[in-house]
Amino acid sequence: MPDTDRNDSPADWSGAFAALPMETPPGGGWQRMQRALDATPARRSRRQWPVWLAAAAIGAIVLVPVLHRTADETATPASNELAARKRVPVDTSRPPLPASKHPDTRVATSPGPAQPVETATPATRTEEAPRVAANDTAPDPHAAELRGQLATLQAESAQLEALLAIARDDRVASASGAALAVELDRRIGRIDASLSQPGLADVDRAELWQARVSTMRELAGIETTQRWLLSSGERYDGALVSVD
Amino acid sequence: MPTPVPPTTDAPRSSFAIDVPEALLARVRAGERAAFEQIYRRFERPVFNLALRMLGGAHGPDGVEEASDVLQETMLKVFNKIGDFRGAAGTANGDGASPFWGWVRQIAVNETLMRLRGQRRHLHDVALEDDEFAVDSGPLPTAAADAAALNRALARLPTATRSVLWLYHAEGYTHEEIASLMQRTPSFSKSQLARGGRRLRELLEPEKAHA
Repeated sequence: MPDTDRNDSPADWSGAFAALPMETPPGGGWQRMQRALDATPARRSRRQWPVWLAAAAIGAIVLVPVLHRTADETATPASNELAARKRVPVDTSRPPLPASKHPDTRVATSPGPAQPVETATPATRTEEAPRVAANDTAPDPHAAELRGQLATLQAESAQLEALLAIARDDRVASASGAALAVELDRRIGRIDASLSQPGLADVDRAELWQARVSTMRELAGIETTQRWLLSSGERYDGALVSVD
Repeated sequence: MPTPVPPTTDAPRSSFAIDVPEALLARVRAGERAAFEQIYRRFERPVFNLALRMLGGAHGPDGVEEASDVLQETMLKVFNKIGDFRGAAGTANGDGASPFWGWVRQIAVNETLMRLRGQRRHLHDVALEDDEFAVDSGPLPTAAADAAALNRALARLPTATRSVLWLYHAEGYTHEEIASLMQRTPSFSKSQLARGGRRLRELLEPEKAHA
């Protein structure tokens, strides 16, 4: 629901946008879709998901490491917790995390009969079950500190975005610099998609934001170096290419 | 036939708001291709329309092709990740579970934003977080009722501004939700909305803008 009162009358922007005719995709979309489905062996059902299970296990190893065990055993400060997790880098080459990573979505929320948590591998189940229970029964003692770190990371991310907007010049870029920047852009896009999953745990969110800031630092470094080299008549690599 | 979800608030009614029977979702989860085709047919236009509006490609073959790519990627993810969906098929249960259409829409928005970033269009539109929030007020320009004129004006907006306008006004996202989707602050969303409204007005009323 929007934050402000809305006027449903066609005299506002919402009404004007709603009155725009809905665009229709070109024909043959479903046929194209079928070809794509045939080309990529899909995870048709949960019982047929060994690849999915492997991916979930890897995701659990990357994003839900021993942290929760240590958090349960000792009152480790949140900063140490995040620092410990930083030792295991986020694999941003992967697609966005599935929503089921989140405890809220891992616990069946569908109406009707309770569903077993089928998507959790045995490994993730044993690691995450205490976390769900802990979240349900007691507040995370490090939540405030994590949120503080989160705010700091978000502020740095915003500053880096602003810096990039100034430093970036797509008209002239070195071939290798442009390729690196595009890959980093894609990585940031994947992190963003993971971040937008609803209800991420604070610690997971903080780790993703840390990865975002780190990637943006790399990107800002490349872009500013390219600009600096260009201004001094040098090149990032041997071949200057015009992108536009 | 898709069952439109009746609006329950004064928020704009999203074109995605389509109830899907739980039984149909179960068949898709079981890998039934024909059931997935029904899902595809229900959501292909909302996904394509959203992508086209946000990408700003309503006028041109490139935009149509891009939006078609978003549609395909979105629906592939829907098919491959439907086992991860834990919400409700529709919205009538009132238990707070996220509806299926909201899940599809979020995938579509993410796909579109990833594409914008991948093409490096997004960063150029970055506005200062403390940009002025001067609210666009007054009666809507009469040209806003002209779909072609409004489309042209939207296409001339910066990508981030257009995306915020569309997500807020057409899809009913809050500033907080938009901030989360775009990895920015709610202030950013508010400033883009205010700026976008003013700019749209100028584009639709050029004579007043230069008066």
